[in-house]
Amino acid sequence: MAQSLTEFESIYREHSATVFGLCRRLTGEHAAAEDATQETFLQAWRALAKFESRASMATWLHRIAVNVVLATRRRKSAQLLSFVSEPVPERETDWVFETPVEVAELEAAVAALPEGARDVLVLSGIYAYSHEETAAMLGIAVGTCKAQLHRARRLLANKLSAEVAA
Amino acid sequence: MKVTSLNELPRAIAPPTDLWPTIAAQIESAGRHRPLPSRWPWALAACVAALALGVLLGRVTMSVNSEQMARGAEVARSAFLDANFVTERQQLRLSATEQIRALPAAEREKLLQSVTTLQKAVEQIQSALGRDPGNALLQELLVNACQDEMSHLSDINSAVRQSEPKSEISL
Repeated sequence: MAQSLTEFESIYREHSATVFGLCRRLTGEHAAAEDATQETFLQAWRALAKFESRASMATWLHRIAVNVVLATRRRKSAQLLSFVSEPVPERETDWVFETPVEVAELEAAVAALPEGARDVLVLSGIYAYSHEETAAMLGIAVGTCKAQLHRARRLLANKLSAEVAA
Repeated sequence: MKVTSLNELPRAIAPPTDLWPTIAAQIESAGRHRPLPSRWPWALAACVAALALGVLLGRVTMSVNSEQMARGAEVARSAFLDANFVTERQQLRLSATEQIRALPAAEREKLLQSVTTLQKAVEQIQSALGRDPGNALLQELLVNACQDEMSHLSDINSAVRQSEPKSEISL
């Protein structure tokens, strides 16, 4: 076990920052992100034997992290994620801001998004998962994923332009 | 620092404190004190009690009236002749064995030992019944032992499933 634990520590060292970054953005809270990161690695340890070496460890850990965050969120609130149906553009990649934005300001704007929209934006916008991968991770339909991304970008653009104007 | 798109944001954010010591402590603690399925102690107790009673019944002549014997015999016969019961028991055994095989070696060894003990208990009661087929208490004991075995196998299945982090999505 000691040898395996040592190996697992190296996995933790390699991936903890991206897992924590993902949890931090999905939860919007520092303490919750720490808890989610710990739980992610505990669950990963328990399921390590089932990890297929040909798969990406980072993707595998991110999936566990998303599960942990969603499960925690569900425990805290039984409310369903609000979702407003909007027209879905076919393609929304390579979204570039008209003017450069401060990282801290952008992070704050992302954190202020509604949960459903934020989840999709973080996974597909920051962590570059495809609509299909994002939808699978969140347990939603691909169409919903696209619509949530569109909604997130609109809300984010409004938020950023309002702050620039202020 | 300014960025012009979302994907320029750094994906990695180092945790403010090193979370590894806590994680390692929990892993080691779980390794030493992994909780057994909640019904497991009861199943073991039932198993021991079944063996003790089996030995006792083999030596002591019990006065059982004919009505009790008939009822016990009927329960045991219907349980073991029922195709659904036999199939379900067999499926549970196979499923639990597969689940156990996927566990780490130390836990696998413990659970396999437990399952074997329970199954031996069932076999010993069956063997005692072979010598004294009309014994109503042995018949009831056999049915109870089989039910304990099945609920223990179910507990193993559900406990292993719950420990998998793929309840939301497939990994």
